[in-house]
Amino acid sequence: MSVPATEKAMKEFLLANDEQFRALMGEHRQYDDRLRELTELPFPNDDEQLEEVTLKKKIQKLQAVQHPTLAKIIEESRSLLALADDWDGEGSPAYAKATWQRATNFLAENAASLYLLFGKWVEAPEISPGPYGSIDLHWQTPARELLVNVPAAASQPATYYGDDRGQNRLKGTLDTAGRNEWLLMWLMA
Amino acid sequence: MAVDVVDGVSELWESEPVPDEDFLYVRIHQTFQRRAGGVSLGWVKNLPTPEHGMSTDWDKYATPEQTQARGRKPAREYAVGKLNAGQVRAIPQQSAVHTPDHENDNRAHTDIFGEKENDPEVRVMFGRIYTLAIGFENQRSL
Repeated sequence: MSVPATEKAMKEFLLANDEQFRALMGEHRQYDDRLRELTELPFPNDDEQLEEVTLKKKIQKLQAVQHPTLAKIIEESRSLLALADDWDGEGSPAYAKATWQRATNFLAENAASLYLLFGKWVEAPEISPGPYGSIDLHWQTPARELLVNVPAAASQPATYYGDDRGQNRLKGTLDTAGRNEWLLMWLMA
Repeated sequence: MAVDVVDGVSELWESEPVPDEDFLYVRIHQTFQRRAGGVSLGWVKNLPTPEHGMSTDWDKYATPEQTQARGRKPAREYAVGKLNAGQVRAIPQQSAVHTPDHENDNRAHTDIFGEKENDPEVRVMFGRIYTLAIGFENQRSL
């Protein structure tokens, strides 16, 4: 079965064809929505207060679960911010903290979200200097390769390309502020 | 000096067709060295702007050492990648054109034109065809 090439098509594909993905996405949404409802109540009753506390504890417990290497890799990638203009002698610009934060937030949030959904951590990517102040997230697994490029311009979407070194490929743009677990899920398939 | 001098007569270098079987050398700064080994893909870019080409040297007129030494940083900071011209042309939108650089006295200069920065597929494909003619820290890997 071929994999759809766009973000929208991929999500629709998974929602239509993967019962577990559908159920977990629904459950995850309900979980977020319920917590938001509870925190917005002006006068929660005892049961609602207890439910909110329970939900927060569950979230804290989940947040305490750490990716074996992701935090370290992200921290190491801060070194990109120390590169000055023309660091390569080819005129490459320095890397903006906002670009680095956008790239690493995208990575951390989607890795964590994938873990919440499926109990699996995605392999840590290489976080590397991209062209013209952009930052690359690059995965090379035995079966698949995925490159996500986060541009220096905050107004521009990220671009991605992945394939299994054969006919199974996907390519497009994505909103780094949105939910993109599906892309990491594709990598792990 | 931007020209060859033959019998006292200055001669401009003309652009020549680069055969598919020939190779192109490209400088890769040490910052692109991956922690897990190999090279990350940020070196695949057009210079000085995306509208230009990616600068390389044709192996007909250059050695890897000459390419390495042409950078503005010390030569030891660069590895030198080696690309087959035919494989480059097989990557979507890419073309290899001999563009002698008279200003910098580089007859080997060859541009690889085509979108790169905004097309991660193209950069992944470049990552699959390069080899290193000179490794980082001047250690030869080929």
